[in-house]
Amino acid sequence: MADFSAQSYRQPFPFLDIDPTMESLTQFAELNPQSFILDNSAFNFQTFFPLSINDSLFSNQASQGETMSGFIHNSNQSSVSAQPIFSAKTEMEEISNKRKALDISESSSGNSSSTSPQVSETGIKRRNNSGRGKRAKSNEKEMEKPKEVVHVRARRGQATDSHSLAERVRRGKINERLRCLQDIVPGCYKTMGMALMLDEIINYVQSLQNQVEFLSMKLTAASTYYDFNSESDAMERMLREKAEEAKELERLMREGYVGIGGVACFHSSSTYGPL
Amino acid sequence: MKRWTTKREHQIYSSKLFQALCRSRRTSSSTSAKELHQTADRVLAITAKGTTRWSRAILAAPLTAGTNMKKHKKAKVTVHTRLRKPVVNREKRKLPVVERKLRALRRLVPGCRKLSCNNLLEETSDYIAALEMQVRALTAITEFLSRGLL
Repeated sequence: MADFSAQSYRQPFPFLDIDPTMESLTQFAELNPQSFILDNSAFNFQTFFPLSINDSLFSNQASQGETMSGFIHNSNQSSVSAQPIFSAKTEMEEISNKRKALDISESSSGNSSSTSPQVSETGIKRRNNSGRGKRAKSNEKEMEKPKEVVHVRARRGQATDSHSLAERVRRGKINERLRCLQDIVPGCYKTMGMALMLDEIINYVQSLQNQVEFLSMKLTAASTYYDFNSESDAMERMLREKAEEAKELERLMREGYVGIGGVACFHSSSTYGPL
Repeated sequence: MKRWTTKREHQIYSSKLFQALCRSRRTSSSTSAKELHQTADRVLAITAKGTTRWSRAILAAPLTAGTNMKKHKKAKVTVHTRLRKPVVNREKRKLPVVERKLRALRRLVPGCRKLSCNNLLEETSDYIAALEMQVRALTAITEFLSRGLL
């Protein structure tokens, strides 16, 4: 029981390491020793807590009532009648403090843009990643802490209006997709620009479509001799075996594509019997 | 994109394709390569479970014949442009190079005619992965059918 009470006591108050609340809490514990024992769930504890506090603390001491009602407000999002008079630090408070510090530094540098959090976060990432910009170090300190709305700061030598920022974000997204495609499409170097990459992609898609067409013709030819009415489960087993073989074949085809052309290589490496 | 590389997906697709092939064989005695191609594409789109644009486009318009393609009538007036200074020409032609390639890509991937560059690239990567799986499955089935006869 004592353990449980200590645990549940700890749950809604994650910020208990701060001194002013500790005193008030211990005093409160003395006032209502039974409240902890009676509850069986954290939720009940939380809902029970404000009622008892509102009754007891506001009647007792005003200053402590402030602290209590404050952190009830923070811990209970829904049915709290207490007013946020509280000024002790919570998690959100810490973040807002950091935000204020950031704002001050931002305003001192003369940044004008305050875009959406999505843009800001990607802006931060990019600034953290790339080595350009002479203020990279000072930027990183401020960017790492907050995870909510952050102002984007443009790097040295770059435009600060919202259009260029949005364009930068857009370009970043496109580059990311191009990188994915680079992994898939064979024969793409990292140094290739957009135009060359697109050339390769188009060639590859065309060759794949040709392959599919060629294979479908081959399949129709092969299936004319097959008796489809006598279907059995042997097909499943066979397909599984063939899958492994086909994978190797596909690997050969991929290598062949880089040199000559997929269809031609496929033709030469096929080891089928007569159809 | 990663779902097209698993063996499980490959098995699912192969078995569905084989069943579709059997069914089409039973209904109509003559099966052309085009029909088979369309069936294979449709089964591929079904395996995609409707998450991508190209799969929805394939399923939405399967009954059109292959020669329904509209030919773009944007004739390039090359004669007149050569009378001008070549420098200006090259500058003007260099700008939409990427755009022209994107247009070509849009023509290749089904259902992506009016997609933005960003989404187009995403659809393309998924489409390429799906096509690779289709090639693997078709080779597997073809080999099975030809080996089964020997």
